[in-house]
Amino acid sequence: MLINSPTREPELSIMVRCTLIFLPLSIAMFFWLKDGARLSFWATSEEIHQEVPVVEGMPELGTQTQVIWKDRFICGIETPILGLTFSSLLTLSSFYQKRRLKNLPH
Amino acid sequence: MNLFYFILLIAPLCIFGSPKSFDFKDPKGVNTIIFQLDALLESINGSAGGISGTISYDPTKPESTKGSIVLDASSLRVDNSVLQEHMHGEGWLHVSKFPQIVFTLSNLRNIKTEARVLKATADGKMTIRNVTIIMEVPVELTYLEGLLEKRNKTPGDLLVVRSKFKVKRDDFGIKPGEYLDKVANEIEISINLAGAFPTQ
Repeated sequence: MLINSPTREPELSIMVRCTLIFLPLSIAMFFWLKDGARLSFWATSEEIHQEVPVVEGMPELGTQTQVIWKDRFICGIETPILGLTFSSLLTLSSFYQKRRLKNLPH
Repeated sequence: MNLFYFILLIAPLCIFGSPKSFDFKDPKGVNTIIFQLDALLESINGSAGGISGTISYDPTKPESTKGSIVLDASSLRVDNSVLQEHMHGEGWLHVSKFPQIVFTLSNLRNIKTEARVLKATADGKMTIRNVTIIMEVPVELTYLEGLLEKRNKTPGDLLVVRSKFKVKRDDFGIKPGEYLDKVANEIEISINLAGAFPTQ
């Protein structure tokens, strides 16, 4: 049984701890990569470029670039930085909690 | 009486030889100016759609092409609303005080014709924030006779103007030497505009 085993319990707790610590960074990285890993800050709209023929039905006469703006939130570089900050804070708090528990009188 | 005959003789030449005034206010809303600033830390891309102005063009005398393209500064758009607010603000473009960005074309030179496309260097003046500088810009003009009807359902001609050039913001006194790591000094501008000359 897992509960009665004296060696299994701390291992499981470390795993849960690690998962919780890396959760903010993983979520942030997921959304940042999904939005195209922008190195600049967040965006509130997206620019879509469309090539439109100057004369309808005659693309051989040349095209024009039509820009369409779509409102949507796109994660920027601040997203992984925030994720990393949260994960670091969780690591630090976990470390101090462990030290505090160790120093408690038995 | 001699004067009457002279006018009668000259009149058709004047009609055929006169330059056509192309209006760049596009009812279809396709005419756009695209700009890009590539700084060390941040790249800013955007566009502007508030284009107007006229260019007078004579297919038989392209060197005398002149006119102006006017851009409504408040139509400049970027993908971040906070950045856009700053760009329109007092410290940068100050669009409430300087509502227009104007390029005045005075003539064309180094003209080369390739099929329908006329390549040339345009001499003109660019005005941003009330600061005017003399510029030379490479342009490509495509004159499409009688094809306005297929685009705007109005009989007439089309003139397509394409160009790609760079301007420096410090030339126009826009925060010279400041924030260069985030907002590049060089602004790459790409224009692709269609002007209309309705015959009716």
